[in-house]
Amino acid sequence: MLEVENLSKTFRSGLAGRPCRAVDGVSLTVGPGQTYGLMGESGCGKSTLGRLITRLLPADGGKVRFDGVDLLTIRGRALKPYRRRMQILFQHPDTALNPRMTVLDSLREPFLIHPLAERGERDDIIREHIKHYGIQPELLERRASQVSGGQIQRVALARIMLLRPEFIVLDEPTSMLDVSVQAQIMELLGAVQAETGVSYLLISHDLDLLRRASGYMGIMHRGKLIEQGAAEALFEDPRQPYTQKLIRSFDRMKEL
Amino acid sequence: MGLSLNDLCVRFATPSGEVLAVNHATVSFRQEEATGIIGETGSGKSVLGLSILGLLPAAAVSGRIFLDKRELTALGEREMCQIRGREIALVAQNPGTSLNPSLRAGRQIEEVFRLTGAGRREARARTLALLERMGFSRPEETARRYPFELSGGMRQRVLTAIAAAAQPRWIIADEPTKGLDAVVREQVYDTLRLSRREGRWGLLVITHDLLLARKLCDRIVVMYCGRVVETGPAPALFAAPRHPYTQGLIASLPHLGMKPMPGFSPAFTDQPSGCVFHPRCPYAEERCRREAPELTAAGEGSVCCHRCA
Repeated sequence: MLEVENLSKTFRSGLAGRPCRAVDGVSLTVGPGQTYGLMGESGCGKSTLGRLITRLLPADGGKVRFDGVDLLTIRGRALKPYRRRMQILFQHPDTALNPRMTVLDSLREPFLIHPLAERGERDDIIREHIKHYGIQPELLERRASQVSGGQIQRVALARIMLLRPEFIVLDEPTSMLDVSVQAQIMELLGAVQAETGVSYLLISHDLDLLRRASGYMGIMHRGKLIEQGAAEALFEDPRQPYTQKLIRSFDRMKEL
Repeated sequence: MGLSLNDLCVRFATPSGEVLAVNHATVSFRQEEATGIIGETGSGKSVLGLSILGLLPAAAVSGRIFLDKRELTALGEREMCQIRGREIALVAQNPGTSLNPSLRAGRQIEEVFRLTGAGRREARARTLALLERMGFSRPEETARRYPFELSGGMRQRVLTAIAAAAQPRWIIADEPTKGLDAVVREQVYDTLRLSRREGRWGLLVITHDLLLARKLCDRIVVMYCGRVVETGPAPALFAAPRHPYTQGLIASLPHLGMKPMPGFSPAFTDQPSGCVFHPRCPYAEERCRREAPELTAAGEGSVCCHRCA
């Protein structure tokens, strides 16, 4: 489905700034209908990796094979169908939607870019579609500032799913939300995956969340993927000292 | 000895009408304990903290707040300035923006000592000693740094040091772990625990981080829609929550099943009749729809639910 091979990105900041290897030779594979959990602390490069895969940032080197095609070699117009098939859900609900648009306008946007449906039937499709995402119809007339964070993440996910993507990068989709709202969004993501068979790259710094939600997991540290494997195995028998430290620090907060 | 709120209400005027951000809260905190105020975004917990410090427009606040025998809500602005920082200090929500970006970390702590009458040299020495006690292994170096040169966890520790410097009787920490990753969060926990050893102050931790509250605090106050819905000793409250909302909150933790609660918190302008939690409550009966329950003493705490009355 998605194969990332030796992907790298270096940022150069300022005039005399030292180059920063944000993503350093990362390789991973996400199978169809699978959730790959990517864990790491702030600044380890996990969000950059998500952006490189979806080509929101140009990579310096490596391959991103999607359905056998190396995405990094595709240019211009030829990329557009792949844009539809790969989507990204961002972390911050307050910047996910255009504040000047109503929720309905935001949901109409995919139709303006991709040939998904005839003009006349778009609003009907939207109204039917949002029922599956727990979005009340009266929300459609509101603007982003009048909608709670959890509801915005539902709208953002519903908008993505209008495109019927096969792969979604979930970039810390619940880190700005409360635990009870987090549980709702994670349940919704699980239901969407069960129904459509979409694959997820779930980026998070919450080990417990990843353990519950993903089958396969990778740990990122300073730009490198230092350890990966089946989620349960990784928790049972972490090999890297850094992974062991992470698990210990989570266990410590759960102890009394 | 303690901090107590008596029928506290905070009202805000919004375009869609007046909202009660804190709704008749009556609760007291003991100075020898760490109390965690937990609740979700919009439950009124931060507003509650700000009202204790008198940082809200006086017209918005009704009810009474007592620091021991003194009524804070009766004091003027000049007198409140004597209380803030000296008797009740705040560790503000966002360490990234709460420090002055153009002053070195040490200078921002020294300022507190200078304000309490210490000379320059003494303030310097006390700052370094405090930084060391806050877990910085090289205090001189940390004191020389600007906030942007410090990591999130270190900034949080500097901010806590500023609050602790004046040896206040109370420290209010507002969302100390919001948006932080596991490693930094653990550092913040250590900092707050350390700060409790440092002084004899009471600690109020306003947080939606249930695990932090459970580990750090002796008592827990749970808020929902501006109301106090349950209070109790931390171990008992987490082991056997009584209010259905507290139960739902704990069940939605990832390692305890991540079971979602049905529905959403209601808008402040559109509150349900009777018990504010009844539309989401699995045990709701006719009475819950009609009649709002009162917060009643139960065991070592209190709970606001008809089933427990």
